[in-house]
Amino acid sequence: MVNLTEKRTCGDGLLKFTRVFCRLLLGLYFPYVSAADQTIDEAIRVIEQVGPGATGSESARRACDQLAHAEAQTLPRLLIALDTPNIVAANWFRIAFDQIADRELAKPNPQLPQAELEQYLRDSTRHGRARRLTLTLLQRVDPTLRNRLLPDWLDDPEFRRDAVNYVLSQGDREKEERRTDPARRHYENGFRHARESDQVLQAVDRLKSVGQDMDAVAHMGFVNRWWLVGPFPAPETTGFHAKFPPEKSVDLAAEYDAGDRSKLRWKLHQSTNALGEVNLIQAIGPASEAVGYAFAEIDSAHEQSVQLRCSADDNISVWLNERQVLAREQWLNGTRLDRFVTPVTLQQGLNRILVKICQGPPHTNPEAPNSWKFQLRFCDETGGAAPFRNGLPLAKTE
Amino acid sequence: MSHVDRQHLVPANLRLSLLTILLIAVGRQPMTSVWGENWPEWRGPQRNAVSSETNLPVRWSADEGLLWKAILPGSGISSPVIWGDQIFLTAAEGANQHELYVVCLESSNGRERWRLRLWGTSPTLHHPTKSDMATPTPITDGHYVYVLFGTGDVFCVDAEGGLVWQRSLASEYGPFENRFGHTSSPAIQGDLLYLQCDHYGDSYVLAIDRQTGENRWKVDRPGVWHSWSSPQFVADDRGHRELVLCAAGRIDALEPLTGKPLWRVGGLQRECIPTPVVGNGMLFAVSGPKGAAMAIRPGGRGDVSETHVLWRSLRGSPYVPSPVLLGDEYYLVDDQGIVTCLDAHSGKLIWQNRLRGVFTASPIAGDGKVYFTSDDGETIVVKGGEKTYVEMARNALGEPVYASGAISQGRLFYRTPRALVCLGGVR
Repeated sequence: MVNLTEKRTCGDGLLKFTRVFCRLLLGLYFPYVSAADQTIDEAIRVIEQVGPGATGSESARRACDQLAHAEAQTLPRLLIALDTPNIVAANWFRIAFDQIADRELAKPNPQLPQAELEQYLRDSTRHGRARRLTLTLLQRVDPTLRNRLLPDWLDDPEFRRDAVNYVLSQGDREKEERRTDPARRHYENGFRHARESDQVLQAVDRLKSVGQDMDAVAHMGFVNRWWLVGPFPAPETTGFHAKFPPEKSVDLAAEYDAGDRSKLRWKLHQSTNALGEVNLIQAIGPASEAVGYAFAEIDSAHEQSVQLRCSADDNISVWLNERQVLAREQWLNGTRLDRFVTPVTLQQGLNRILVKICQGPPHTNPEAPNSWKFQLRFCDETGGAAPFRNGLPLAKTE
Repeated sequence: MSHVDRQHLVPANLRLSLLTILLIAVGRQPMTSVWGENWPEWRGPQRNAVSSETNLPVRWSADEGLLWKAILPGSGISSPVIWGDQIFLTAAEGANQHELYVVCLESSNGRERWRLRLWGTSPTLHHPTKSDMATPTPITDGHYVYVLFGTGDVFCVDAEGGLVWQRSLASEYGPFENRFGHTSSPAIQGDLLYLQCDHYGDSYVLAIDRQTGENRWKVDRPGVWHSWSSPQFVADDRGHRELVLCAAGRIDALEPLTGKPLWRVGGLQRECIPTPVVGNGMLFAVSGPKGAAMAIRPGGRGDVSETHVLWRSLRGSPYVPSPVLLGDEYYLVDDQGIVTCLDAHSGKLIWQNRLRGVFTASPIAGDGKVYFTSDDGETIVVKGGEKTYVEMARNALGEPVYASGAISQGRLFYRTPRALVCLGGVR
């Protein structure tokens, strides 16, 4: 039988020595780490307190100076602090982050906590700007990292645009090599994940170049089939507050007084614009100091919470199912995609949309265009189309 | 308490005098005599685009007279500001330009001294070439630099590149809504920093304590939507300073310490971009295209459109470039390159001439010369104070220029899309 006791006794002696030695070391080390940790935590807390009106700036500056002297191993903790919607605090943290990173990378053998940084980078729940900062840092160490990660980021809240660009460029390379099918697959992939209008249109163009037609209007959720009526006369900029008959009730068979003995009637119109823009001057005629209305019905298979995004030149008011959901009195705006965003609920079945678009006085410079138009769409938070069907019959196009 | 020294908050002129006395007393040369006149803000030392320096360059090219060229990060249409041996610039980059830079270069060689990287809150649309998120020009007193970005963020940075305070105006008061980008540059008087925040949303003007970054006052400007102009100061005949804001259709003068309205004048176009200039006891405001240039006597109360407008001229009003007042002559260049020289006292036409090119940058002047720079980077040097158009030189830089130039240390500084160039040229 093996005398475990003896062995244990012998081993215990060594073990005890080791434990004592380690405790001595750790005793020296841990209080230091703990104090440093506390300093860093306190500095982070101070910076988190900065707020509107530059409050807390002086304390934040001192705290930032403290953080900036920390070691590179502090970077992951700073990144957690950087995961904040408070951009003022984020900028203080970033200054410290940049100084630590720059100092470490200037060393002959930089020691970044790479695994933790990369884990943070891959976490799509973290704030986009902090993840992008992390990517910029890691790229300085590993320039191939970005392209390795991009294919997995086609639905990423921060890197979607970069990823879509990447797959579209992959398609371009395939196309240059005359490999049409792989090029088409890349373009389709890019189109499917694109949310910003310029990328959507780029993908549509590229798909067209390989013989495939795609519909940007449906992809982005534009309503492009409308009943239109106008112009109702509204001197100067009185149109926004003036209420004309369509605001009381929409009667598509009604005739309205145009103010010059002529009659205004609803007219069915389908926009052919690639981004669903409705040009009222082309659709119902030129006007100034006037109001036009657009009416549409869309069919939703179920009740759904969506975003209504719209813009108009000059200004826009929107009613959904007879309830006003948006009204902004601003003149000379220009139609800018998604200028106004508001959450709305589409009910199951038909939904009625009424839009009022005002037209102000003409520009004093006769060369300046006097446009009168609007765009409206329903989408999710990423900008992808909400599922709905147009409830109006097809109309002749512009 | 203060993270910006009070001593830096005395009026610039007084500060300069005190500094001069102090430095001479300790046997050192004052900064201004070593480095020449500073160009500390949008449109230079008196906010009028005129340098008091002499012996300024007349001729240069991409190969001749170029002293140095510094590559800049990102892009920017803001002008460089110069204090002694420091040049401060802003820039922006990224897919939506939310990555912001404040950069300091050495004026003698263009070497980068430091750069501060920051995030902007809410980038807006902007012109493809003539504006971006770094269009407002910084302002400095040599110790601190104040920068405003089109993202709705304002920063105070010390001369060593340390952030002193910051405000996210876009978070506090709503994002700037602007399809051409915010362009209005900050102004300073005493211990206050003034920001004209006109945009398509809810416009306002702010007076911020330079020391702490806190608001001293905020005045909302309902109905003011189409202004890209920068604030200006004018003194009335008793020497009282007025804060002047040009905007869509109107000019407002406010009491600088309180923001209380003093007077207003109508008659600007519905979009206003140029910054007014002051001189000879008058304010010179203009907006175009085809709008009126006006000379206004300050010191009124209420609507003074009928009482204080000394003259109106419909000749050559620019849409983008701001004017220059050099002595008794008022120079305008419109976007199509028609230069108009008016008598500043009467508004009467002295001469008019068509230059070649499209003009975005505002002209600058000094040493009896007016420098008009076109979008393709050609600067036409015109002799000032003449009864007819006298062209001294045409100098091609070989790169586009949209940002307005700066003058300091007998040199000209121009920003191209990617670089800052320093021109010594030939006198």
